[in-house]
Amino acid sequence: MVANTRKAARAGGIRSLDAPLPVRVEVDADGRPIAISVPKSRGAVRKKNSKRELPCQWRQVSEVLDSWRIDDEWWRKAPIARVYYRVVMEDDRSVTVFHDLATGEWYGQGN
Amino acid sequence: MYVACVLISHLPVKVELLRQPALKGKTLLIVEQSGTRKTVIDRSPSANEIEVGMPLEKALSLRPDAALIEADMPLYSERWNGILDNLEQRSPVVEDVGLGLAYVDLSGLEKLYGGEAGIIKAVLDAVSQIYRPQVGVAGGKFPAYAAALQAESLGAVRAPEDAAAFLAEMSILHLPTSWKIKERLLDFGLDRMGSIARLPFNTMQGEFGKEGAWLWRLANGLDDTPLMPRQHEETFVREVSFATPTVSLPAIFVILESLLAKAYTGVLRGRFARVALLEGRVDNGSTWSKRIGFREPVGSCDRAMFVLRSRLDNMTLPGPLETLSLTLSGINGETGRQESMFPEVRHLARLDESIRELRVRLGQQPPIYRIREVEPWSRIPERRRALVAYDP
Repeated sequence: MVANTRKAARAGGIRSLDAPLPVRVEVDADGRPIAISVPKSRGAVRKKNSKRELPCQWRQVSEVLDSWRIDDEWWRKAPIARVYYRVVMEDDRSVTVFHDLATGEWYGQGN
Repeated sequence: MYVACVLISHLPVKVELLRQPALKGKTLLIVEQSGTRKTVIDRSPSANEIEVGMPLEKALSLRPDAALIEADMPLYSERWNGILDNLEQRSPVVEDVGLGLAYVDLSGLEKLYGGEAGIIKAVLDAVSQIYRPQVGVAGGKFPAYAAALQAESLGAVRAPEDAAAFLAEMSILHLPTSWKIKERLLDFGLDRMGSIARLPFNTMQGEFGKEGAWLWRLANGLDDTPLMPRQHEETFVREVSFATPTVSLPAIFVILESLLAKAYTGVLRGRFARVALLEGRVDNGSTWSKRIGFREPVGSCDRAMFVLRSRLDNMTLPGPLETLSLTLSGINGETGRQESMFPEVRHLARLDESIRELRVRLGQQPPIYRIREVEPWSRIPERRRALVAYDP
C-alpha cells in the first residue's frame, strides 16, 4: 500500500514563469522611474536558492515607452494593484518594471 | 462472539460545529442531495423529532427554524477514517458501518488489556474526547449497538445475557432499516422492539419478507452476523496546494497532469488504475470531490489525463480551490507494453529514455521543464504560463 505521507501540501514541480523579481528604482516627483538598478550583464539570472545578489549598476531611464495599470482580485485579502512601465534604458536595453501599490515595492518582470 | 460497538452520535454535526463554532446553539440539519431528492443525513440532538433518512421537506415541516448545511462528506469521511485507524491499533478486526458507527471485535483481547475494563478503556481512548463516543459491549452486533445507545458520553454499557428483555423498551427507530419500513412498522403500531419480538416470526416474515425476518431476529437480540473487517486497498494519494486559490480549469489540469505523471512514473509504473478520486479544499472552507471511474483500467498519464479532462471539461466548481488531491485506486497488475509504429511517438519515447538515464546519472531529477499555458488570458503575467517538471 502506498501510504499517505501526510506531508504539507506544496506545489511540487510547478514553477510560474515570469515571476516578479525585486529591483531598486529611483522615481521622479510623479512616481515615474528615472533610474533602475539593473544586472551588469544582460540576461543574468540569480541561481535558485542563492542568497548572493547579482552585481548591479544604476542606469538612467531614457524613455518611458508605455505605462499601464492592473487592478485585480480586489475581493481577496491581498488585492493586486500594479502600475507597469515599459522603459528604454540609456544603454538601449528595454525593461519592464512595475510598482506594487499594495506594498510600495518595485519589481522587474519578463526582462 | 464478543463485540464492542463504538457510537459517535451526530458525527457530521459535531464536525461542522468544530469547523464553524458560530453555529453552536442553532438547530442544524445536514442535508445530502441524492438524485432529485434531498434527505437529512444528520441533525442536532435537540431536533429529536427528525430522523436520519427523512426527506428534507418533511424535516422542514417539523422544524422550520432549522439551519440547513450541505453535507461535506469528504471531510466527515476523513475524520471518521482517522478514528477507525486508531481503533485498528487496538483490535485487528474493525467493521465500518458508516459515519459514527463501528464494531470492534474484542475476542481474545482480555489478556492483552487486562480484562473487560481494560479493553473498554482502550477502545474509548482510541477516539478523541471531543467526539463524545459511547461504547456498548455484547455478544452480537445489534445488542452491542443497543447498549452503546444507552451508554453515556465517554461511557460504556454491557448488554445483559437476556438481550430480548434488554431491547424490549427500545424504539424501533433504532433498527438498521430504511425510513420507509420504519414508517410501515409504526403504521402497524409496532413502536417498540418488544412489540416486534412478541409477534410470531411468520407474521413479520409474511408482511415484510426477508427484511422482516431479519428485523424480528434483531428485536429478539439475536444477531450472529460476523464482523466484516475494513478493506485496505493499495492507493496512490498526493496533494498539491495552489499558490492562489483558483477556479480555472486549465490551471487545475496542469496540476492534475503533474500529479498523474508522478503516479505513473513512480509507484504505478507499468500498472493500471481503475478509479480516480479528486478532492479539493475550497477557499470558503468547504470541500469538493469528484469520483471518476475509468471504463478500462488506465496505465498511462496521457490516457488518464484524456479521460479526466473529458469528464471535467464542463464542470463547475463550488468556489476557488486551495488544494487538490488525487487518489488513484483499483490498482492492478503489471503488463507488457507495445512499441508505437509512428516515428514521432518513438522519438518522444527516446527523449523520455534519455531523461531517465540523466536522472540515474545525476542521482536526482534533472532540471528539465515543460512550458505549459495555465491562464493565458490572465492580466497578471506570472499567472499565464508555468514550468512543469518534465518527468517521463
